Amino acid sequence: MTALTHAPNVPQVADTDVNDPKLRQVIDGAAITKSPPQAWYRTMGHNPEVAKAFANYWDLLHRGGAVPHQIKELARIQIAQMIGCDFCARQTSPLAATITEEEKACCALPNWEHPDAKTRAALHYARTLTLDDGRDTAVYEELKEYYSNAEIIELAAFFCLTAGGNRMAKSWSIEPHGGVSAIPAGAISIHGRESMGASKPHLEPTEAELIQRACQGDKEAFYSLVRPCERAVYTTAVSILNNPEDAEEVAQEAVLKALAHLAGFRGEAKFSTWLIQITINEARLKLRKDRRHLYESVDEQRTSEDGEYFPKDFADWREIPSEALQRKEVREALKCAIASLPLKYREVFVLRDVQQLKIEEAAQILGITEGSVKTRLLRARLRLRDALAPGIDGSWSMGKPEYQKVRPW
Amino acid sequence: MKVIEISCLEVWREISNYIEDGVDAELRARMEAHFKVCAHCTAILDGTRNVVKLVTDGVEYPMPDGFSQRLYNKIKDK
Repeated sequence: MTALTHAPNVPQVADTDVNDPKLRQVIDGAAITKSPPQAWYRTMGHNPEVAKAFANYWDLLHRGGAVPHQIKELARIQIAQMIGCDFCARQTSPLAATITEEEKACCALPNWEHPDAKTRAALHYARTLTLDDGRDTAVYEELKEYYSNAEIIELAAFFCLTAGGNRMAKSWSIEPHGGVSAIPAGAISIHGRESMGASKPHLEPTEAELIQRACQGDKEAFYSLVRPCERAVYTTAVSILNNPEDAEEVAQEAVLKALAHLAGFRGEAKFSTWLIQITINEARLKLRKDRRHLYESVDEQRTSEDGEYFPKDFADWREIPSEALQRKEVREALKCAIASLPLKYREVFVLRDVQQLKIEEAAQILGITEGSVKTRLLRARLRLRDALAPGIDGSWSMGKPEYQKVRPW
Repeated sequence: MKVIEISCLEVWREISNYIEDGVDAELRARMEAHFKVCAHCTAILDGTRNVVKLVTDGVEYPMPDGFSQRLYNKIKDK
């Protein structure tokens, strides 16, 4: 990765050259608050007055004010992702300790929706203020439901300072530990892949290389990234929406969003994982938008799991005769049974059992713990067994002797 | 070695992890001992395992004809 290393555009001031006691205080304090980190103020240290004024303003908006720090910290990470400032996106304020790694990862998705309505409103505002002109009426209407005018001013000032600060950090090419960023402006981060690339010579371009080329406008390179996972993208969409036309539309939309936001992809997960995450969010958005009344709440995702499981029967389904697999009605029954699963179970089941993803990948995609994946998977599998087993062993009909046999109560 | 008994309820709780080979050796031994004597839990196990087997071929979700080409065109035209 030596090709990516370059000298910082603005060097950091050495500790021995920091003579202003208040600036010293600001730099030392950053070791604890971490957001922004010391490297930030060491770089600004070339102009101590600006550095100190910035620190005051930042502290007032970030850690002070009326809006919860947690919400502002999440918005800060999201803005850093949108601007493509890997340096800022990797920092987390210790005061916002309840922000999970999953939430941080989800911030990188162009269409992620936070489950909490108040946080969601602030994040929508951060998005429009950073990417558009910030005048979206619908966003303001949503914002006013949860925030006073004074809080909106606080949010706007904080977001603008964050966006400007992110651009400064990106242009200075600084790193938290005082080194030089290995990520030049406009390029993408490929953390975790470097050793693989360095040790294995290869003829095919790596995922990181394809991403780099795609970021430079190479559409063929982008399609090379998408092609191996297009089935997964479609399957994910159709399993959520239960409609092939809607699924294709959502799959296309998700892929185009990935293309538009590729520079914000941080490479900590596989590209396919990121694309499936975007697809799931896009499909959930469509459910909310088009057919909210027909489906279970998508927000139900965040609720706790149901109580204890009790089987509906003990239908004996020891073996699957090969001809049974081919029977159209068996496949239809399976399809209907999957479609009738609650969304939170269906998503996990399709990722793990249909698409054969690892438990940890499913957890990462859905932004939930591995424990939750396992619990939901258990529920999904048992519900499907309940739905299918009695049909397969011929004990659906009440008149048949098998009916009573498998229902001893 | 004496195997400590396990209830049906506990077996159902762990059945999915059992299929995944995600239980420790001690729990696996207890579950296997239970399956030997409990036809009902064996039926649940077989049925659950069959559900997983059935869906792995992905035929429930066939890709629409021309999907790839239309997706490629969308990317190219963007």
